[in-house]
Amino acid sequence: MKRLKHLSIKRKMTAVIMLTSSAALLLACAAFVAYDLLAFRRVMTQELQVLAQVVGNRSTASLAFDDPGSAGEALAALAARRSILMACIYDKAGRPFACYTRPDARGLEVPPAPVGEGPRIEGGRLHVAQRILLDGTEIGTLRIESDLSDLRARAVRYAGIVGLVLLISSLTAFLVSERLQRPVSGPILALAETASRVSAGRDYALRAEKQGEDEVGLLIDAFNEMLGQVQLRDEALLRAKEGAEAAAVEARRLAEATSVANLQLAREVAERRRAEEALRESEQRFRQLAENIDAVFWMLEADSGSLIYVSPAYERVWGRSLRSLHEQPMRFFETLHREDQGRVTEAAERLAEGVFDEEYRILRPDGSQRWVRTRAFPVRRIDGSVYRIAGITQDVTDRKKAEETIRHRAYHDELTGLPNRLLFAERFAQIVEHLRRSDETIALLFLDLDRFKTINDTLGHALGDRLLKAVAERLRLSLRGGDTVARFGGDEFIVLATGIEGGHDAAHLSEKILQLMRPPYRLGVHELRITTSVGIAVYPDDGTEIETLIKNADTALYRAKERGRNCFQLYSPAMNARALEQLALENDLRRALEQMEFTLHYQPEVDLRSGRIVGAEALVRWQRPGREPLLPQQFIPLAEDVGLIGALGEWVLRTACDQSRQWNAAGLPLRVAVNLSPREFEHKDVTRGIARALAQAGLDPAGLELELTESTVMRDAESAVRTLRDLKAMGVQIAIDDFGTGHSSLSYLKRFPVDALKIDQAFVRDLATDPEDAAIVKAVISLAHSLEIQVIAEGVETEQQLEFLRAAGCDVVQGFLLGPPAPPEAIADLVRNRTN
Amino acid sequence: VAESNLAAEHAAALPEYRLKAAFLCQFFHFVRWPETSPQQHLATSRIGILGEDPFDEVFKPVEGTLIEGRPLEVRRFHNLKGMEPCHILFISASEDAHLAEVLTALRGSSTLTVSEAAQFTRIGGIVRFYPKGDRIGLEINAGAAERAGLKLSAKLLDLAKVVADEERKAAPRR
Repeated sequence: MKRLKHLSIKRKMTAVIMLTSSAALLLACAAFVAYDLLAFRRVMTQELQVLAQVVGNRSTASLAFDDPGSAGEALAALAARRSILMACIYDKAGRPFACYTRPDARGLEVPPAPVGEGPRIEGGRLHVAQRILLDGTEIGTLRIESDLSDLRARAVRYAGIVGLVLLISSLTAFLVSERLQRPVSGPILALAETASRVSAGRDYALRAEKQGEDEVGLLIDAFNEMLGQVQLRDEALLRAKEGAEAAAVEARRLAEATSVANLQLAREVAERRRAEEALRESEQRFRQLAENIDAVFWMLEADSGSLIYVSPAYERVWGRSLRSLHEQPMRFFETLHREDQGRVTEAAERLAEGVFDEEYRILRPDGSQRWVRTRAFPVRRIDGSVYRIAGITQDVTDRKKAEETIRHRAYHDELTGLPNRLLFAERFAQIVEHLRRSDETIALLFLDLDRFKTINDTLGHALGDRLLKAVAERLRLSLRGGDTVARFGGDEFIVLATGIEGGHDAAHLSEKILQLMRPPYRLGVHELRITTSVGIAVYPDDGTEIETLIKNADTALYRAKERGRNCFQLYSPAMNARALEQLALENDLRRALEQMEFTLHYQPEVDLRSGRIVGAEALVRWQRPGREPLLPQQFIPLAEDVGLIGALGEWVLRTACDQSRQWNAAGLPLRVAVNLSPREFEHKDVTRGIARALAQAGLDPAGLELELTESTVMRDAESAVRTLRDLKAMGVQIAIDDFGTGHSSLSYLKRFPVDALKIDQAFVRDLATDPEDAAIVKAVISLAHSLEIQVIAEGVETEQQLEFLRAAGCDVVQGFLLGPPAPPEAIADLVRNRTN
Repeated sequence: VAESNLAAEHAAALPEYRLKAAFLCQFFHFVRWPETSPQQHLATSRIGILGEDPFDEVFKPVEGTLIEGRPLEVRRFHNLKGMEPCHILFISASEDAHLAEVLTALRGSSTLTVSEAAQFTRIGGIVRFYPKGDRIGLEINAGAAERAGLKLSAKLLDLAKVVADEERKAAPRR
C-alpha cells in the first residue's frame, strides 16, 4: 500500500482494475473446475457401476455351477480398461471366488467382500460393489476398484488452463485499463499541466480545458475562475503600459498580412484543382472494378448502417433489382433462407465493428436458392475509428454443391445410394452410445442374395446392377424409423434394427424382410426371382463390437445358406464351434499335401465280354492323422474353395500316370482313369498340364482316361467342346462321369469327342426293382452305341445287376461286385488271379 | 432360495451329490423350454430321477421352494413305463446299460437329460457331469439340446465343454 502511494494516478487505477478482474476470474475458474471434476467423478462412478452390472450378470452361471475358471475369463475382459486395478467376485459366504488384478498392480491384496452397496472413494481409489442376483436371490458379490489417474490428469490439465487464462486475461485487463482510465485521469493531468504552465510562463490568460461535468469538471471551473480573478488584476496593471505601443504595431501587421494572404490564395486554388482531378480518376477506377467483378461489392455507413453503394452484380446473384434494395434495405433479411436468418442476423450485429464472414443461403424470386459467402472489413479514419464497412459477397453455390457431393460419396454406396460401411459403422457407434445406459437390444441382420452370381454371369453385370438397385429400394421401404440399411459390398446388405426385444423380435423382422424380397423383380423384359438369406446377431448378447457382430451374423448367414437358403438364422455360440471345426479341416488340408497324407486307391473296370480287367479308376483318399480316412466328396469341394485343387489334381494325375506305366512295365496293360474337377478342367493350361504329366511318366496317352462329370462339361459347353478336342488330339481317352444326373443335351453329346459314358450308380442300384431306371439304362446304352460311344456302368453290386447290364449290351462294369477300391499292389494281384 | 441353501457350504466341503443336486436346480435358470412343450403346463419346476436315487435326502429341505416362480418337485421313476413329463431328468448310473433306449424314448419330449455316463453326450444326451480336478465339470451336446427344442443360455455354454454327436462327420463346404 505504501508503494502504491508513490505511483501516479494512472498506474494506481490500472493496478486496481487488474487486481479486481483477476480476483473475480480466479474465483469463477475455481468454481467451474471444482464442478466439472465432481461431474467427471460421477460419470466415472456410473461407468464403473454399469461395468460391474454387466460383469456380474455374465458371472451368474459361473457362480451357480461353481466354475471360477469361466468367471476369471469374464473378469479378464476388464483388462481392456486400463484404469481398473482389481476386480473380484465373492461367493455368498464372502469368500473370493475369482479375481483379476491389473498386471502391473501385482501384489495387491485381495480385499474382503464389500458390505455396503454404494460406490465410494478411498485411498485414492474408486470402489464399486455389485450384488449378483439369480432368480431374485443374491448368490455373490462383485467388487471393482479403479484408480483415479484419469481424474488427476484432468485436474492437472485444468490447473494449466486456468493459469493460462489468468495470464491472458491479466494482459487484456492491463491493455484495456490503459485506455479506460484515460477519461478519468486525463482531465486531472491536463489541469496539472495547465497549472504548471501558468506558473512557469506567468500567463494568466491560459485556461484549463473542461472535459466533463463531474467532480473534476467542478475543480477545473474553480481553477479557471481563480485564474480569471488573477488575470483581471494583472491586465489592469499592463493596460496602461501597452496603450501607446499598440497603435503602431497594428498598422504594420495589417500590411504584412494582406500580401501573405494573396499568395496563399493562389497556391490553394491550384492545389484544389489537382486534388479534384485525382479524386475523379480514383473514383473511375473503383467503379470499373466494382461493376465488372462477379462478386457483389458493397459499402455501409458504420453508425447508421445505411447503404452507400452496392455493385450491379447484386442483381445477377439475388435476381432482384438494385433499386428495390436501395428503397427498402431492411427487406434484405427476407431474402435469407429461413434456417440461416437467425445466424446471419446475429452475426450482423457485429457488423459495425467490421467483423463478418458468413456463408448462407438466399432465396431468389423464382424460388431457387443459392449459397453465398459474405466477408466484411472496416474502413477507418486516420485516428483508427471505423466510419464505413465495405464488403464482398460471392456466389459459392457450385463449391457447396461439390462439397455436398463429395460428402455424400464418402458415406454412400454409389450404385444403390445406400449408406456404405463407413456410415454404417458411424451409425452403429451412435446408436450404441445412445443405448449405453438402457438395456434395449439391437439386431444386426446380414443379408446375402441367393445365387446372385448366376444372374450376373448369365444376364450380365448391367442387369445385375439394376437388380441390386431394386433390392436396395425394397429394403429401404421395409425398414422402420430408427433402422439403417447399408450395402456391405457385392450382393451383401446389412440392416441395423433398433428397439428389438431379443432374438424373437429379430426373427420376426427377418421373416418380414424375406417376404418382401420374394415377389419377382420386373426389370425391362426380364422377370427375375431371387431369394435372400439372413444371418442375425443380437447386441449385446452376440457381441458388443461391430466387428464381432458382423462376424457372428456372417457365421449365422453361412448356416442359413447351408440350411437351403431363403431363410434366416439366429447366431448361436455353438456355430463358432462348428466354424472352428471347419477351419481346422482347412488348416489340415493345407498341410496334407506337404505331409503326403494323400494316397491313391484304384477300382477295377472289367470288360463284360472278355471278363478281363481293362482299367482302373484312381480315387484319392486323405488319411488325416488320428482320424478316419476321408472320401473325395468330403474334402474336394473344400480344396476347391481354398485353392488347393490345382496342386492336389496335379499330384493325382502324376501319381496315376506313374502307376499306369509301372503296371505296363510289369506286363499288366491297365488304363488308368482320373477324375478332373470343374476348376481343373476350366483352367487355361489344362492341356499343357496333362501333356507334361504324361511326358514325365513316359506314358502312352492312350493309357490315360480323363473322367469329367456331365455338369462340368455343360457349364460352358462351347468352350468344353474346344478343350475336349485338344485333349482328344493328344490321344487321351475321355469319359463322361455320373451320366444321367446332369442335363446333357444330345446335340452336344454328338459334338463332344467322347470315348465312354459312365452310367451313374444311382440308376444301377435300382435296376432290378425300378422299371423306370431299367428303361433309362437301356436307352442310354443304345443311344451311346448309336454314337459309337462305350458304356461303363458304375456301382455294380449284385449278380442281378450284372446280368441285366450284360443283357442290355453294356461294355464295361465297375463296382464292389468286381472289386472295391484298393491299393495298387492289390489291383495287380487281382489282375494276375483273373488271368489265371 | 433352494439352490442357495444347498450351496451354502463351500464346494469342497460338500459330498459330491449335494453339489450335483444344486447344479440340477441351477439348470432351471439357464434353460428355456419351448412355449408349446408339456413342461410349460406343469405347475411345478420338476426334476425327475430315473433308476436308483443317489441323492438320498439331499432334496428334502428344498422341495417346495420357488425356482423361476414354481415350487420345486422331485419325482423318482423306476423305469421308463411310469415316466411323466419333467423339465430335467437325471438318469442314474443304474440305467447306464440301456442309455440309448432311454434317449430314444425321450426323443422329442423337450427334456433336459443329465447323466454321468462317459459316452452320454456322444449318443444324444444333453448334459454330462464329469470330474474336473476337484470340481464337477459340465459337458453339453448343444446339437442335442437344439433338437430337443431347448434354448441354452450362452452363459451356460460358455463354461461347459461343448461337444457334438459321435456320428456327425465333417460335411463338405458349399
